[in-house]
Amino acid sequence: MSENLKDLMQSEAYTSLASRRRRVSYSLTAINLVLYMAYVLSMGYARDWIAQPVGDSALSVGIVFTIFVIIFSAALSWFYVWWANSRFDPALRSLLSDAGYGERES
Amino acid sequence: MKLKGFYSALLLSLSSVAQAAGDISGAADKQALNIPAIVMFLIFVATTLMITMWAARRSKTAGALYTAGGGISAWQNGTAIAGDFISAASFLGITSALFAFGLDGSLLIIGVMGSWPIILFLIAERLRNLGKFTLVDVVSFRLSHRPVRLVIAIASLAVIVFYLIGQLVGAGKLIQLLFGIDYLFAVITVSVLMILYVSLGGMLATTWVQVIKAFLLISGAIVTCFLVLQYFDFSFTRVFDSAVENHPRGKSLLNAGNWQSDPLGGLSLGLTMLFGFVGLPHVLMRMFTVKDAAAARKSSFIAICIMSFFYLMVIVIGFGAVSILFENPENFYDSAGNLIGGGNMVAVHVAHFVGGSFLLGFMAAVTFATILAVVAGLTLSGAATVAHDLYQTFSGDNYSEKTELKIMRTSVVVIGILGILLGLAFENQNIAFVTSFALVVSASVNAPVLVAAMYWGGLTTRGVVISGIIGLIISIVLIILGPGVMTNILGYSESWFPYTYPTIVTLPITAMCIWFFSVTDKSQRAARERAAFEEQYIRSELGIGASKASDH
Repeated sequence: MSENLKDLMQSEAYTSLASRRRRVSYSLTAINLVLYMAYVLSMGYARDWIAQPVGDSALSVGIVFTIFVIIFSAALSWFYVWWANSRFDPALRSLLSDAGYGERES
Repeated sequence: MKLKGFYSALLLSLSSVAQAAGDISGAADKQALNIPAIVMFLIFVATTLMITMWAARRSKTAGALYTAGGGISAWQNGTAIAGDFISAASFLGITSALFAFGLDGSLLIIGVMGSWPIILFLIAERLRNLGKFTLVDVVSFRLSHRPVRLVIAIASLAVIVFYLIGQLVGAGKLIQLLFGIDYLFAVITVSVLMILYVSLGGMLATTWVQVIKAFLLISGAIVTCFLVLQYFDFSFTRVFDSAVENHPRGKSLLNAGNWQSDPLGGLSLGLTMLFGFVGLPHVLMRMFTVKDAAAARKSSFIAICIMSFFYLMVIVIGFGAVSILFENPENFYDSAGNLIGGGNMVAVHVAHFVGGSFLLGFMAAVTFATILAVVAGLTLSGAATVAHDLYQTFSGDNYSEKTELKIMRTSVVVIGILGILLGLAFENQNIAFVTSFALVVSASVNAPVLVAAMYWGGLTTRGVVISGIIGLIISIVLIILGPGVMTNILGYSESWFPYTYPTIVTLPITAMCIWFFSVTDKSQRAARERAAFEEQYIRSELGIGASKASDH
């Protein structure tokens, strides 16, 4: 590993960027897991709630929950990609070019 | 009206979890020859074979064959990934499960939708930065290559081969039903086409086949969904009001418990899908076909969008089917009260009813195409595992790329022939356990080992090897002692282990083993491996040193 890469890795700028990235991806994962487990567990253990009608149609909480999870998963993913593309990638690229890595090699 | 065929719908949806075309448990009577479907399918075959010829000229190196040289665009890749999931089985199997069990069928949808964000947030980018061709590359990155590759390659091959059997048996039966051609002939057709696509056109052809098929399947689903909504005057709530009125289960159709009556069984199924989809070798391999980590991220997101859109349509079609089929029983049920063609035919009947024989033929042809596309992807990753992970690692000084290519192409043919033989052997077996096995191994071995390799610096070779072997063995044992084999195949009245999907037990055990046998590893090799994590971390985060589009 080259010296200036080591310096980069230990620089305040990089470590704070890396910890921001960890925070974002870990918390999104946690939200996703909690929602998924809530869905699976309520399908098993909260059937009274799952069966409740929504509005004056036959639509049950379970169906609405299902549709919500599908859309929410996509929305969560959208947020991550938006963040990574517009916040993380540019910041990382400028750190790398400051350290002499020019265009991000990948 | 009796509700027979539910059991086979259950089995189909179980295997659809693993994208297998599923089990039709003997109910697949041969139908009259379906000419429009055959014509449309032949057009598909001709087009894809032409693409294969074109791709073959560009696929002369190992890298080109395995991953199209990293030259696939994020859009193509995302569509192909979605195509691996929205297969014939998820279309036919999930609509049938919704039709038969109501709300519980949607567990199959949420399994996919729950696992993909995790792949996006944690796996896709690091995987692309660390690996070259297979997930084994990533696991063995800083570990001792030979033992790790051997164990993880065996686990991967187990997943791939079992998945393939499920696909081929289901395919043979579905094709027999939809096209009116022989089971044997159907299985041979699928295998031969698959061998041609993969051995000549490699990943480039395989991806294109998957992209075209995904496009066709989504188009068919959009048309069907639109026409179903039209049947209900475009009222979304009426779809459900009317389903509850028509279905013998009444209101309970929209409650949980019709299929997974035991909550723990449902939880174990949920865990199996969540982690099983994360560890599928043939899907993860697609991350290496794009140019960099950002493109891998974009591919995953595109796949998620396509899948969520598709599954929302499947919900409408599945519940819409209830009213359509029960309000017009004379068209869909035989005199004994069975759904014509078996429990899987729900979506096909709906397409026929709302779109006439053209839509029926179209959907039948797309089903065939879908099976081909998924089977080709599986075979490609199986052959890459043999030629790249096993041959390259164990050949030592005798290695040559020419031999590797020869081995890769030979493995494709061998897997194809093996597929035909196993397809015949399993023709009249209840194959639900086959696909559950594939997913359980993926969830209990591949997924935890992969995540540990990328995120935990303490992981050592000993941890991977011992936990991999233990994970494989307990998965096999518990599946054999579970209802899938012991009750359904061996005919015991009760199984020793209560759940078809033992992940709730196997995954924690493997995870504990990974931890325990790594932290107690005091060897020098282990110390070196822990020290090497920093360099791996830098590469996985920054992409510096990641294999470039051109050099693989």
